Amino acid sequence: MTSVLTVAMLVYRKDIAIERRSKETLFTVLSFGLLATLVFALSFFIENDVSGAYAPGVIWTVVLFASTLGLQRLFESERENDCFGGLLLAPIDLKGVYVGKLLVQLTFSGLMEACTIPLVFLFFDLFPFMDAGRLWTLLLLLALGTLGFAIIGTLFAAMLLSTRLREVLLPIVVYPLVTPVLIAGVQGTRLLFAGTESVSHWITLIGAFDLIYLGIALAIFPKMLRA
Amino acid sequence: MSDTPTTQISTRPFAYWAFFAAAAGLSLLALGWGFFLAPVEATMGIVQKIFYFHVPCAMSMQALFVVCGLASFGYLIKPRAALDRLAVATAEVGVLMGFFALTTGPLWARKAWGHYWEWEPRLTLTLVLAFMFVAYTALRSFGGSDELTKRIAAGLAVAGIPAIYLVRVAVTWWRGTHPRVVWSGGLTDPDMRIAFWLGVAAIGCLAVVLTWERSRLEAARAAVDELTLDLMERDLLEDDV
Repeated sequence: MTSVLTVAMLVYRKDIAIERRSKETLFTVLSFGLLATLVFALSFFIENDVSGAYAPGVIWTVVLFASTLGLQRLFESERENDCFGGLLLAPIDLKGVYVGKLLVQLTFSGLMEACTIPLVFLFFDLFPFMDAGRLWTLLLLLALGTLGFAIIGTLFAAMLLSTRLREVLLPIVVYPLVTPVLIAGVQGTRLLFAGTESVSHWITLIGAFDLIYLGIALAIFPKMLRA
Repeated sequence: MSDTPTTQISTRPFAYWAFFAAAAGLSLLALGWGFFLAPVEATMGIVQKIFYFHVPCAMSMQALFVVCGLASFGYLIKPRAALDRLAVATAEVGVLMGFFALTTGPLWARKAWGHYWEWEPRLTLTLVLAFMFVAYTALRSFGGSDELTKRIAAGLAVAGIPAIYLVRVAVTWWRGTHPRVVWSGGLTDPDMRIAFWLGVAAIGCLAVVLTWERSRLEAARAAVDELTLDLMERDLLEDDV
């Protein structure tokens, strides 16, 4: 049995190598993220001085929607030629496959957020609502929230390996489960824009969510897939 | 190849009929007590009586979802067909109960709060839980009956259990300053309390009967699947059946 981290790194390097040659997922996720930002800005923008009240919702919905798009493709490379069958047969810990895919998803989400969130700041003129100290808190909130979305998303994106389950939309499964992260993220961000320095209770909630579900995911992912 | 299907459908035992009779009797009793013996509530009036139905539905929904999560967890640890049938049945009946709770809730809220919907913690929790298990039933209904579908749905139900707590915390903090309109003092009148608990018992028995029946149905479906496969292997069945 190779260790979980070794397997994770192998899966991660494989997927990133495929991506570096095809650039399909990153292109899809990035362009969707940017377009979603544009659509939300056109729909919701009211006035510069009240942006702080509703822009948090825009930031978090763009992050959630665009990362869902990445999830749709996360196991795509394993479907062709029954590659996943190969992974199941290999004498490896399936936890490693989960961690590897989780890292892939986090990479795509992170790159997407690095491009879309500055754009939200620009379109909604959010710079007057922020200072350096609170920006770091916002980044922490976003990092933990993205991790939460990815933990749940990666666990259930595996359902797309089944031909029949592909007919059920992934968001139907993922969105109700991530509602605590969404609420905590939006409310925490709103407090930061309103000038509150400490949003530690919301950060704690997302942190607890991440820990609980990372534990559950590591425990049940192998059981879900290896019948 | 066996001559008889391995999945046997049991006949309905005495306990089933006991719950059936209890559900029917208690429902009538709860209705009678709620409408004729319990007094009309002072501030809300007659509309308060919906609570003898609404709250038991919401309670049995949560209980059913917890059972579904536990049965699914058991199924992931040790795959037994009975646990899987219990999980499907509780999830579906739970969605039904959630639907009852979420339709009766706004009817009451319009009269008591002046709005059909408020982002009140318990209401929000009920809504999110109902969505979660609608997803579970969608997976089971459209995903066919293969093992991967059962296991992924089981994973969803297991993930649903901590969500009950996490969603509750999130919505309470979010709407924490919201005035608590819902009875904080509880039921003061003894007849109201009796009517309420009769309602809980009636809906509880109904939930048990429906779950039982749904899980029998699942067993029957599995048996039919198995027979069909058997007949196909023996070339006794038209291919397009």
